[in-house]
Amino acid sequence: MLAYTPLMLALPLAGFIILGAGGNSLPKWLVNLIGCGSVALAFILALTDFFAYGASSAPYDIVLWRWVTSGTLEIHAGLLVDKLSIIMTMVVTGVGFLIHIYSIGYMGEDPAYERFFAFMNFFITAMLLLVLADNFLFLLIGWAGVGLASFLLIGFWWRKPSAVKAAQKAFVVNVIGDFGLMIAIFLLVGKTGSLNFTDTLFARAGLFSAGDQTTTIIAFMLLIAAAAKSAQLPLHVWLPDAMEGPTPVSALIHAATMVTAGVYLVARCTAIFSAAPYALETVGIMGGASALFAATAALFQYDIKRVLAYSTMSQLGYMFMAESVGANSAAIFHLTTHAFFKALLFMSAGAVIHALHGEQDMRKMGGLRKKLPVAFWSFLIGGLALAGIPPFAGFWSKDAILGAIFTQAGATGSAWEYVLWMIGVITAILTGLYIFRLIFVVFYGSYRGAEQKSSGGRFAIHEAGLAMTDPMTALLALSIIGGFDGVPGVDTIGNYLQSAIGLSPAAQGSQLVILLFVGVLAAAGGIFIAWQLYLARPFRFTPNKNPLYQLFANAYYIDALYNAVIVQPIVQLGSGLNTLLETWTLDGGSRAIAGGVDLLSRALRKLQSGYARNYALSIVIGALLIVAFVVLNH
Amino acid sequence: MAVSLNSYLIVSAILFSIGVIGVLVRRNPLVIFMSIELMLNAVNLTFMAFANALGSVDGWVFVFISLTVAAAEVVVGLAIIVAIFRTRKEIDIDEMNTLKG
Amino acid sequence: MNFIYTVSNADWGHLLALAPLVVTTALTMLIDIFLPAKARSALVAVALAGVAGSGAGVYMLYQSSGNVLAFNGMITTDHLALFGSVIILVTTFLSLLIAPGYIERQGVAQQGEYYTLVQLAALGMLLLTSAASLMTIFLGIELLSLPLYILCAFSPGQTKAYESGMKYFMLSAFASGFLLYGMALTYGATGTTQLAGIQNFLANHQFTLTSGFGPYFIMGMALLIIGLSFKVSAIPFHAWTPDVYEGAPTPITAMMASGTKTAAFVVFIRLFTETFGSVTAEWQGIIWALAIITTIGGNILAATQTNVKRMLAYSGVAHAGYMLIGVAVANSLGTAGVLTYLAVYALMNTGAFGVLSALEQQIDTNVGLDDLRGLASRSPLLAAAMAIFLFALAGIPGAAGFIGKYTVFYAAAVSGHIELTIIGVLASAAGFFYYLRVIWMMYFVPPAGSSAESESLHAEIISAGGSAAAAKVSIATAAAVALPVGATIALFIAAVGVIGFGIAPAEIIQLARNAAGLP
Repeated sequence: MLAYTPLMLALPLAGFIILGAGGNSLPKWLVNLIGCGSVALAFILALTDFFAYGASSAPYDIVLWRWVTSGTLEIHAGLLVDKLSIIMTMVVTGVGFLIHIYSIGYMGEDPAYERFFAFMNFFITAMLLLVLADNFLFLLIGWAGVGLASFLLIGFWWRKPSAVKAAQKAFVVNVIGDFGLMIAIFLLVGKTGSLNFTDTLFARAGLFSAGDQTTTIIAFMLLIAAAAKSAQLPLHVWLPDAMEGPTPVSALIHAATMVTAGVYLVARCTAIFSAAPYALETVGIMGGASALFAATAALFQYDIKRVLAYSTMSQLGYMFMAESVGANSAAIFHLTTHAFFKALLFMSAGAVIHALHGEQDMRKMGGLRKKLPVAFWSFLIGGLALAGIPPFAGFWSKDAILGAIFTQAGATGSAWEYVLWMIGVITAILTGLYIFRLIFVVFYGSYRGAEQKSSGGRFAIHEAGLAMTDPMTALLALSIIGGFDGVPGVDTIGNYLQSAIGLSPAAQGSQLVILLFVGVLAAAGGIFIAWQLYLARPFRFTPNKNPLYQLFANAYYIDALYNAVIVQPIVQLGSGLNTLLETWTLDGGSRAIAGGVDLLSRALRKLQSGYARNYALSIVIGALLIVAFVVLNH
Repeated sequence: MAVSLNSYLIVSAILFSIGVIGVLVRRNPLVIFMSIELMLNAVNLTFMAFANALGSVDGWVFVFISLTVAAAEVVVGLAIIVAIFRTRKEIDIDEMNTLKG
Repeated sequence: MNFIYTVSNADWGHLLALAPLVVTTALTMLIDIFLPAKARSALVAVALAGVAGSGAGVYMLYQSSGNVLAFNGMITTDHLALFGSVIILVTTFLSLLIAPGYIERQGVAQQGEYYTLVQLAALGMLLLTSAASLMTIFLGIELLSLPLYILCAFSPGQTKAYESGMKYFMLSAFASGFLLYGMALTYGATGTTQLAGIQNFLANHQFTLTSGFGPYFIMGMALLIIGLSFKVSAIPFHAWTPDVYEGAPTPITAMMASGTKTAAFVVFIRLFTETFGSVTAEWQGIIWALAIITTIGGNILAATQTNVKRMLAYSGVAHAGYMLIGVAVANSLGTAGVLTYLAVYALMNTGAFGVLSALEQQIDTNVGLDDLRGLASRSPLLAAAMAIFLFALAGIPGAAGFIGKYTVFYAAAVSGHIELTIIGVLASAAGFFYYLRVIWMMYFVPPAGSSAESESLHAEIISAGGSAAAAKVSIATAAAVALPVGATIALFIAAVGVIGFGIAPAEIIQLARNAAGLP
């Protein structure tokens, strides 16, 4: 059955070609059938792969055709099925399928409906190529392909200037990542003479020896690629802006799948990273910093999708933290559960936005619990899973990561790793805080939107159709049960992945119980703070000036104290860092580069004066330089 | 007294440079072509000098080829100049700068 | 002083690739006299037959074995020459297919001359790839240049065309002077004009700068680089490229851009990588620097271009830079990379210019970025073809252009020139943007004068006093582009080739490796 794996790619590709070439002449039901059906079949193929591969441990290489030859080195257009790629394909096609169904409802009114599905199918193809490639060049094609798909889909509503800007920003950062990956590839081929995974990553021991300079550079280049794709500091700037795209895109590409490509890459290249300790440490620093920074940033967003975007960045940070201590399977485990609950959260956010006719500002929401029950329950379950409350999916995976870091810290006695663990716990508190702030502000209290009041119910808030709620229900179920494959002690998924990416360190015995308890406490603490701040008193954005009322309303200013001592410094730090990184270093930097190239280009084009004699002069100058060079060369 | 190889080479290098400078400073295309011809003939002198010094016939053959090619080049060049002259009634290489940027 | 020149019967067999084109060139001139003016477009068939015949000749030479040198070492038919010849023939073929629709619209009466000159230029390029002596190199360069001077100025009555022809002629003749001087000095240093003889001489003589043949040789080599760099449009010898490309008829631009480049790069490889292979240290640094300047500069210059033809010209400069990386590597791997690149480049570049020539039939001036607005909704197939070519030129992984870049950068990486790889990758990543901008225009920006915008536009025109011409232009731009049969076939071939190379490049890479003398 494994031999049918190429079909998994071919089907969405065919969907893309059909919808892209002739989609506008097809009836809508056929567009739906092709768009969603191709992904559904791909998911079935992924499932059959899972069962066909079974407990085997040898990577199954499918050679399609001879692709690039360089003497003895032959790179094939080939796919590699192992347990890592099976898990990835199941997530990509499974979650992808649900989001395709959801899009039928969400994008139903869009005039470029079939183009949307064409791009989505293209994305699925590219993403599957990325996770199934059996060599780095093929991986690179998928890597660039998902970037391109992301660019096209963020800019899907190209009449909005902000969407175009966001798409361009995403593309710029993605190209930086592509650059890193390409350099890594050429360094790798220079060092090992091959690019096939079987010759490099799974190859003989000692190919990548610790302390080898080239290996370290390769690892850092891979890290640049991973950071750009997975929106980690300092290459994260594109992800919040990418929320300009349609919500299904945010759910599929910028939450569940594409942004996890970096996590996949690091896990896949374990052989390289484990021989490059500095790079691995940097993975941890990057992950930890991103997790904490993004969580603080998420606290102060008013745009419902931007909160989720920062949350995604933060959760990806967790995965990189896990990978830095060698807990690859814990990272992949969190990747899967995160795909479930974050896709669910985005879908619910989409349902809210859909119901409010495009409103994304939390300040104009409120009290939606009764009007949008499905969205509310989805948000609640998704939020609980994200915060890490048992028995929901996120609890198990986050605990696996924190447990792995703590255990590894105990084993190596590294202070840094304890710090990393602390960061993880603090981020867990903040996670509960920001997601429940969102839930309380959006679904509790009273409705603050102006629209409904003024137009007298003409835009009555309504629940989304079945096409949208059904996939939400499915993901809701997955967010509840999706973590049971990683229950500590049993750790089905960890054991499953062992042959592909190694076993994660895991806490045992009483330590495990304490760690579980700490995890729950952190999450609950965060939710409690959110409750105190946003629900226990009427939530308002315009403070009342009466001093007595202020005292009571602010619960004797204990909240204010919390706020001043804990929250505000983090706010300041968060927004300060944000300003610093976004406005000055990165945005400024990229703008300076773009502006510099622009200026340089215009200046150099002035030299292209149109006067033939000037051209002759440039030939003479070039000639003199070359003659001078050959003479001075000695 | 026999003239040495280097003397020939120096003379041809000077001629070549005069040709190059002519191309750079003159604005009339006809004069520019003459300068290019000067460059080519300077090279022909080099060929002859080497052929003589090396006792090899290749240089002579090369001179014939280069003379023929230069003649063909002039024909084409003059044709283009005439075509331009018919539309503009004046010839100045610096007037031709609509293509730029 | 003795002079031995013998021609054996076998030598004539080596002209198989050239002979058919020589015959059809003569035939074209002859038939032209007898044809009535209206039937002259049939001449393209004669030219196409000549190209096809030459293609068959190349195939027969490829099959035959034995001595590759002929006519006393003047001509070679080794795999390098044949590989280059195929690329040139394909480019010429596509350019000829595009031509009829284009020159009909331009009102060119002298179609006989046009096709004759195109075939002569192709002959020059073929001769250049087969040249095994400095003399044949010079002849080949002049034979390809002279017809192109005229062809550049071919659109009657157009100032731009004359300017293009004039500039190309003047600068090219100027550069030829340097090239010829370089040849003279090289001949003086080594005593022969045959490349095999020069190679032999260099291998058996210790090179010193200050004594013996050294000074002559080193100056000659430098001057040769200048002459050839002009032809491949390496910076700073590139300045003619955008101006000439812009003014020339677009089918000719297409042919020049890849045909001339192919021929010149084959000579570059033959002269430097092969003939001067034993004195690599003397020239590698120069090519290295040229490659870096050209790669970066070409991309920077292209970045802000809004005239698409000029943008492609500058992008051609950048591509020359990538190929120079393959020359700078100075080994067979680099040669294989350059050859692969040239093959892919010929298809994608000719295709892109082909699309432009189709568009120019609708707009009177050169195609600007704005003219491409909404092309996808007007002419979806044409837009798709352009997108394919542009993705390929950008070298997005998976597209054909990526294969070219990969082979060159791979050669640099494994030959210890990782810095060239890094610069190349960086420059090509930066280059994505200006290609993508065109695609964006075609797919995401509505056509001028369509639905929503047309009303405001019309209102504007009316309020501004109503320029009827402006209104006409906007409506014409919004209409679908009619594609002549020849251009359709050419674009189809190019698109299929580009996609094919992207998906299954192994064969072309293998052929390029064989041509470079690698297993």
